[in-house]
Amino acid sequence: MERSELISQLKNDVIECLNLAGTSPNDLDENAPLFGDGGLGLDSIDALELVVMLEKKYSLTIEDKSDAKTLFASISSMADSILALKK
Amino acid sequence: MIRTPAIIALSAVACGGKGADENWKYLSGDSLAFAPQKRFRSPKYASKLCASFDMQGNSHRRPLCNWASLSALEDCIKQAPLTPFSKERIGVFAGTSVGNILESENALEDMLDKGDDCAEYKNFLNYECSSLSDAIARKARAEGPRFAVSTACSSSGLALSAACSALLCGDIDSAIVCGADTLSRITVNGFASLELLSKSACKPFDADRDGITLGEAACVMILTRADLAHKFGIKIRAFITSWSCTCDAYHATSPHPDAEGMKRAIGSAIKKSGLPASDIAYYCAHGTGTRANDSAEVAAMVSAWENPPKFSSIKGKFGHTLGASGLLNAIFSCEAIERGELPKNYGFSKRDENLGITPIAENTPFNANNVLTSSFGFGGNNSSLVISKKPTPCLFPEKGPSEIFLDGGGAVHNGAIGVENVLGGIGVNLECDISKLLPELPPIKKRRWAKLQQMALQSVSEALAGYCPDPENSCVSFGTGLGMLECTQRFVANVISKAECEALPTAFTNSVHNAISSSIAIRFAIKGLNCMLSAKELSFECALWQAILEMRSDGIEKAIVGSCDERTPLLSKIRNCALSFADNSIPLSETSAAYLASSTRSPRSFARLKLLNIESCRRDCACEAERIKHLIDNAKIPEISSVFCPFSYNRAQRNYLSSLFKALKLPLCEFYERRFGANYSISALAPILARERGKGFHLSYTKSSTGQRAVSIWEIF
Repeated sequence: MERSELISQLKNDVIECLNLAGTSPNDLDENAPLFGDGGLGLDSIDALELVVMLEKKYSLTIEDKSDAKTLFASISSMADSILALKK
Repeated sequence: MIRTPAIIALSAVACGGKGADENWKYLSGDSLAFAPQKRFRSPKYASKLCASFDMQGNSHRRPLCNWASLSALEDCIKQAPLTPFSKERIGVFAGTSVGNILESENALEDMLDKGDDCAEYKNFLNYECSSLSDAIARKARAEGPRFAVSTACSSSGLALSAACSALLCGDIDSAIVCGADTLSRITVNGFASLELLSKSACKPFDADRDGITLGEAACVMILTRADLAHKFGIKIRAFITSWSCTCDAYHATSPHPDAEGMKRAIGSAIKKSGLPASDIAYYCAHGTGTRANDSAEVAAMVSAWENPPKFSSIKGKFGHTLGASGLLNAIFSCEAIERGELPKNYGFSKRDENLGITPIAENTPFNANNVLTSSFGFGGNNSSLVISKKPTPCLFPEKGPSEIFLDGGGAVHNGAIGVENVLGGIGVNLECDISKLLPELPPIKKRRWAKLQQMALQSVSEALAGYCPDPENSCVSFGTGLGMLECTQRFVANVISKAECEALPTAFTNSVHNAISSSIAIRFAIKGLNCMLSAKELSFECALWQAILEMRSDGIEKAIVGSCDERTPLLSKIRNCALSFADNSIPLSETSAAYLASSTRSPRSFARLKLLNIESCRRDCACEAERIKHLIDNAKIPEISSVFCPFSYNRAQRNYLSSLFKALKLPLCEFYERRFGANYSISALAPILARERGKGFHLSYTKSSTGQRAVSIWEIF
């Protein structure tokens, strides 16, 4: 899968997983930080939700789930992690 | 005469045994009772260590939480019989996070396996937290007010504080406080989904701590006031010198990183005790063994004391007993004072340099007067208490305001949003449309709020109408009969049908009752007490009472009070054969109504509460009429212009109520069930309905399906 295609798919996944009904994929900047200030402002519970989604949908296994927050800094880096693991 | 609340009996059923003695011996000994749990089939967590109590003797297979609590109650009544107190002056304050939910889970599992029937529906209803306070009251024949606080892990800390405030204010003479929780699919899977369960056994305050071990406990304490104990010649075990409840108003699960709310709870408990901090010589910690809790708690200790006292957590031995943990801590604090020994912090072996201080690693002789204990829960819900061997003059204001004013009201009822629409019937026959709630907020802010939370937030937002209460001088006290029913049902059904493989963290954090009150605190920055309680049809009235107690005992100026309940398809099915409220022909509805209550009258005030009395309803109509006449006369109400009740129930109840009001020579009672349908929070509409009727005094009479009733009189300006 192309990186850009994966990114747009991930935007939809994030919207569904985090219950952001009313948000359009275009509203999400793939390079903006997901956590902390200046981006979506997600927190540790969202990180755990995203881990469950990625495990289920992309068969991604994350050994230390507390690392999820740094691993998935943005939607782009999420896509990169998936592509790297698929290689 | 000293009016300090006094402990006169205590007992616990926990993994160390039955009674305070057995559990103390276990606590100070070297054995560890952690073992894989056997309460339910658990393919994924079969080997997870837990701390269960022995359920031998439960021959009637009663719901576990109630059974263990009744056993502790029996032990307490042997120590201090309740006979000196008149029945309607004995209150019951339970604290539980999930109550008997294990039975509801079993019922759901059976329904998924074999299809549903009435028996399973009845078992499902063990879910109601108030079943615990009802069971205790029935057994103790207590006829005073009762409710169950459900604020996750601080539940029984808040229940104990509420009892102390009620005693201090003179609303009751004796309080039975109960804290209980057992293992359940929801807590095991839920804490696992949040990555909070320890891989082995919990190690509070240790450098290598990696999470909690879940435990079970049922604790009971009987209290009275010191002056009454002397009058009746009852032996006092210890005094509760001060208590304080705060809220971080920060996050649904994590404590504030700077321990802001914990600091305020501990600091204010010390301040209210009137003692120099150095006189409090032991801190019985919450100490769960998670990275976040223990470091925040140490930060709070270091800020409260220049030199923190000796401290330890009992959770290395008993696990985290969730809603019971606050009372279990209080029991061991009292035992430590009496026995002159402090329990070691089992599980601690390696100093955490980041914490900087270490708990006591050995049992230590203790000869001091005061200890402080805390419990903290989801939603940044904090409770701290000072327990003392000798009484100190109570520094709480003796008499605060005894009346409260309502400055604003808000409501969501079915599809009707806003008081005007609710009263006008616009949308009342429609389903609640979640997309129409909180239109001022973007999706990212609302992402974690389920329907009931959004209904509650919408009603609070209307009640505040842009007003921002002073964060530290205001509190939240909300009622609910069934809490976050839809989320809980979905979480449990998911866990059961998917063999525990799909437990979602948000669904878990949303399943606790106080997901509602803490979202209010976070949204509107309310940092005082954050109480969520459950009392069937009287949930609103009890929440109102709790808010008044907080204002009177703590000098708090503003309170957000209300009550909310939702309907779900399962509840509609259950209703027909197992729920007793209202006439079955009345449709089930969903409601949230909220008010901004104030201790002083302002130009915004539209109502004054002239009377609130919650007791068991007298079976004999003439006795009940006499009692209510007495209350009305005492409150000096000149003339009552209208009387209304939410439910008419059945013919017998209707006859009872009409004879009652006839005997009192009051106007004909209006039942509003035809207009608003039935749910546990419907009486929260009473002040709005009183305002609709106009200037004058309006009497609202709510009767619960378990024999309690509340009389409130609202004066509309």
